[in-house]
Amino acid sequence: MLTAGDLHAGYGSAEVLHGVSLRVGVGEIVALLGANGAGKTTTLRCLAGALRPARGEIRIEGHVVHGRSPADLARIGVGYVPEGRGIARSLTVGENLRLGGYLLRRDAAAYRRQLDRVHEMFPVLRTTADQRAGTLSGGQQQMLAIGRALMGAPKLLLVDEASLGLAPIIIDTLYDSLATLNDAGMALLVVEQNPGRILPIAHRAYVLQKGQVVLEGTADEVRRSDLLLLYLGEAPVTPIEDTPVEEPFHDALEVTHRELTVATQPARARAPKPKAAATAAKKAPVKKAAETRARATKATTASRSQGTGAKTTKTTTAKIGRVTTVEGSPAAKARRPDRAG
Amino acid sequence: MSFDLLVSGIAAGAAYALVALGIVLIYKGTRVINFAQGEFGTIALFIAWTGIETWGWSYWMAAGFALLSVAVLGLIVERIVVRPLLDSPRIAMLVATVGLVLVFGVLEAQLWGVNPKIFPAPISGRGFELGSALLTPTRILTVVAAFAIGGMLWLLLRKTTFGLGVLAAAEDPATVPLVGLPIGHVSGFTWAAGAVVAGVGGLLLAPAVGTFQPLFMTSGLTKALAAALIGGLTSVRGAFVGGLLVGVTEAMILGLFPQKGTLVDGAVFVLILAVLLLRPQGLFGAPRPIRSGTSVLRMRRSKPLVPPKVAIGALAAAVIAIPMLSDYDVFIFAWMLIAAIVALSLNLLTGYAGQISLGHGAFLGAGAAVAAYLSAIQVWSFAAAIPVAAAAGALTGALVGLPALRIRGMELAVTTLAFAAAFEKLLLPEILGGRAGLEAERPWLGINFIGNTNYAYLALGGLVIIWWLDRNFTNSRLGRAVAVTRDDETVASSLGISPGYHKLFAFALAGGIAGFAGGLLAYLLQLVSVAQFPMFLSLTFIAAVVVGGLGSRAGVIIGAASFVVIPQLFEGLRLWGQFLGGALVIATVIKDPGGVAATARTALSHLLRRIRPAPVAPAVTATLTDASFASVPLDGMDPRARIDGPLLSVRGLRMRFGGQEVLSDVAIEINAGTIVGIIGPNGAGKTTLFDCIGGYLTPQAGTIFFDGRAIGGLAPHRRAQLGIARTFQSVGLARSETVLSNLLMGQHGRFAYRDLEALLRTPRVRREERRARAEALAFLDALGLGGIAHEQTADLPHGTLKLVELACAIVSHPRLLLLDETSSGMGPGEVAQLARLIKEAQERFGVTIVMIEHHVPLVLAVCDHVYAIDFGRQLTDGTPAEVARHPDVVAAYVGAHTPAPEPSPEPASVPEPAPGVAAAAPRPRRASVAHRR
Repeated sequence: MLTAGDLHAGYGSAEVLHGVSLRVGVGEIVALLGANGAGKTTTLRCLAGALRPARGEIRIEGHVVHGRSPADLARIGVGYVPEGRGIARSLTVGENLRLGGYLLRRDAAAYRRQLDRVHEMFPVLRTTADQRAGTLSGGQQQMLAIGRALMGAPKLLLVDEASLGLAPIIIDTLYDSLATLNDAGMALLVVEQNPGRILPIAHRAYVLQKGQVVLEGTADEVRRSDLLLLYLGEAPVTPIEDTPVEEPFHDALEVTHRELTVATQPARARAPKPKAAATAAKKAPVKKAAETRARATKATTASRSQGTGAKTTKTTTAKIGRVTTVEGSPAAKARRPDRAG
Repeated sequence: MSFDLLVSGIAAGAAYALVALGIVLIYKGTRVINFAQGEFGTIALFIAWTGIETWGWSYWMAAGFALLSVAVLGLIVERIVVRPLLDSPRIAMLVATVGLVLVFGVLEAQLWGVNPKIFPAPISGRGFELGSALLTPTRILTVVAAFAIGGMLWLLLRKTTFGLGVLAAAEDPATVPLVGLPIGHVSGFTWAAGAVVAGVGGLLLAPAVGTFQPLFMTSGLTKALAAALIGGLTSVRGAFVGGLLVGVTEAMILGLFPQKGTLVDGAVFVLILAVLLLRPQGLFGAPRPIRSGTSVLRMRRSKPLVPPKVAIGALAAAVIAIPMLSDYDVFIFAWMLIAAIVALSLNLLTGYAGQISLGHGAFLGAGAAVAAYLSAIQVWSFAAAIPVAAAAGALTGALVGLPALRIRGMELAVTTLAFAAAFEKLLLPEILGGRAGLEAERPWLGINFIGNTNYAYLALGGLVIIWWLDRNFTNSRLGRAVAVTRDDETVASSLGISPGYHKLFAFALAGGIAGFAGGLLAYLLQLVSVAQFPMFLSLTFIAAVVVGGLGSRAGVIIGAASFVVIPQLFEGLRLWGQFLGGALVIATVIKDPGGVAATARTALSHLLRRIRPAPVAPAVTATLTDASFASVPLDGMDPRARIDGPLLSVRGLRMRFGGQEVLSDVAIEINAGTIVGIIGPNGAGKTTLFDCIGGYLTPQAGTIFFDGRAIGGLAPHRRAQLGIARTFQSVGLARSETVLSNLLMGQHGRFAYRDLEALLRTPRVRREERRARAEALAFLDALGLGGIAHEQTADLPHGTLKLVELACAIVSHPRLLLLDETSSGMGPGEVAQLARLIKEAQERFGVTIVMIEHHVPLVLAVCDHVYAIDFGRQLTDGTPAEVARHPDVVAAYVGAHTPAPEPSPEPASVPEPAPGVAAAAPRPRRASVAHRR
């Protein structure tokens, strides 16, 4: 879907990216992690055409696209949700979505279809259609931003800091939606600060530090890497003898909020990760990603299956169920051959 | 007043409305006021006239061809002038349109001559009478056209997807391309359509007026601008209604005072003031959000372009050169020096305080007229007249600055222009008593200043003094207060800085300097007349300083000097010299919106790099690992100065926006010396609560007590002065200033020196500034931010800024600190460090902290008490662990995916990482060794 090689970019005389290379496959969710100032947003801006890289190559579906404008990229199917949301606050929610469907303005049927999809995904955008976007709460605005990007029917969605400033419960909903989009075959590149949020639904991840990729792999590998915390927040690698409380505290911060009550137990009471699943994943690379996600999103899956009435439960069958979902998705199947290109 | 006058007023108003519609449309698409808007109309007139008179076309064919031509002209202008400046500060584009007026005016004069021409009405015939009014076909057609075009534009903007794109571009052009609509299409369309609308206005106005000539439509441009402004600058309906209002006002004035046509400009200014003071957003404009800075300017703090040594060298060269020049050249040189003073004044107000002044000629004129009046009529001496001239300028400045308390940006700019128009037509002739002018005799101050040479030395002395004052101003707390007000008024208030006072101060100071220059000018010219201060002089000055480079003293002086010298050099070219001037303005801002100063800076750095290649500067990032408040100097802050009981108590707080109740009956009580968390879903009203406590919003009901005192009626900056500091969800810093400068702004309330002392830079000022600087640097070092002290904040990543903002708030020595989502944008490791820092701040500085947080583990780690709110209502409060486990909180906020845990048998089993975290400070260094290279 998207490959970027050796990107160098910056603002003024300061270079922020020193040769970033990454790839997003068809139907993949890829996480882009990194501490503050690591260059995540800059990378995304380059990929969306909002910033022209000084050096390097960006290809989308095999076509060289660097130097193209954001509007051009939108036309070839790249959706971009920038940091700070980028919606028109003085327009109504409905008008924002209509503007989002600019590319479909001559195709009423496709526009209608797309609008229904967005409404289905974010019902709140239907009920608030006549409200000015500026009056929405932060979470609703973020949904509108994603909804607007979806109105252009993108094949690849770039999302910058989707969870910034949002309540935990809203983040859950939002990430559920991203996973749903992906189930329908859309590729996503998501910038996040918090690995506990994104890694459970991602297939692969890149970790940036000081403008370079320092860690990459499947979401699971990255999640379990000793180096992850080090790269993300300058956290100590070795326990410090005089501050024994430090480590559990870090742990509490690392986990997702909904595991909070478990994490705050004095002893490490979190469920051990199923090793078997990991080894299985190595043997079957195609299933691996789905496996990872299924395992990590057990909480999410449970809620989603309750909501949608799917037959999956919070057990091993859930994983199988999800694998088949991905495999069986017509969109995913249709796109698979492109993967080589 | 006769009915006929009213009808003619409506017809003229409709024509103004047409020009205003074009202004609004272009403003929407490219967020700039197009000063050349009127000339699209004049050019359409000339083309149509040629079609009818020379080529013998029918009226409609000629009119159609003319409109098509100006549409193409609009597209060409958009492509050549507007497109390259789309990403630049708006002021650059504004000045480019001023350049366009010059270029168009000369082209018209060269192609068609300056003699007035008659343009026929579209439909001949006398029309019919309605009462005493004559409804001529032109009048009817003008009103119908304005109505029809306004309606069409409104439909286009609201009902088509493309139109929505134009509306979105008016708000933030960066978002439009994301939907696949290139921003160039939007700006191209608005310029072409804007030109056509202006063309229609021109074709309909000319027959009503009788004749037309070059710059025909620009002479009435202030009225069209006033119409657009009254309507709200972005509103199509507003432009229509505003146009009618201005037209009818004009007709009424002419009806009441047939002899005093000059009153019209004054009345238009009063009309603008009246409307904007009552409704700052105009009749139909959308109200502004709480936080917004001046987006028309984008400044960068940088080192002086000309080092002090070079400046002194230039000064010495001037001193030596003056006697060598011919008498006429010395005169021009002295005029250049005075223009340089005006440029410094304009730079202070526009470049530094961010208030665009399009009426600076009026300040200059006020000084000159008053000096001439005192000299000629009252026979005052030079030494007495000059200070009064400066005072007159200051007074005028303060007067023009008054609307700045309510409005800003382009709206304010247009208001200053309207004032300049009223001043030229109304006040100036009043002071000077007729067109002949007044004489000002050069002084005898012990030395003979009668000759041009000695007078040039006097002007040079004046320039040096103003330079010195300007420098003192910018390097004091006054200058910093003005700078933060420019970047973000809400942030200024949160630091205890009164935005209103400082804006007025900047206006008065700039007016005073310009008035001083005016006084000097009066004695240089020796004869002061009305014709010397046309409204266009103000536009020339703004163009000069933008071309020179706003924000750079050397730059604006070079700009002003070239505007005096270049016309002298091209005197032989006559009109083409003016054309060249306009083209030069456009070319310079397109080359670099920062003007000559920026171009020179770039060239210099390229040159330096060629001589001594430097490695590419790596982006600076800060790490929190070594951050600690432990080594920060306390300096007059007593952590033990605490009170017992509640420091802040809020009761029965109710806040509604429109029909939506955001806060309903909120009551919180914060004990001194505690850390209190506020959690709740997005839109629960958390930030609104902070805004009410800080005074940024006025609640409908409720009381707020701080330290036993009701603060409900105090302005935000007053509350900040009492010791309530806050941070913002989206970082609240002066974006165009350095980190160090921001920390000095944080200390604003701690300086003891007075504003006048700041201007004179007394020893006390120097002493206190040194202390503040040392403390700010110590603070930054302690936080591990020492390396970025001189970086501009806009260049730094979000998480780092959050930390700088925290430092800024603490360095003000607050008693209560309101933190709004400080952890957002921070990674897990950074949040752990932040938790430690917050604890440390509370313990070391004795500050009471209230924090809005979405990061539940952080709240658990540091807070003593937590309030959970949702839908503006309190869900519950208690210890962090209790609240986090409360079923309502879990359902509304934390998320219901995980069932609520069994309540613990004993509360002690809930972990309390806080003591451990506090014990962790100061951290051993080796913890961070692994990830430093």
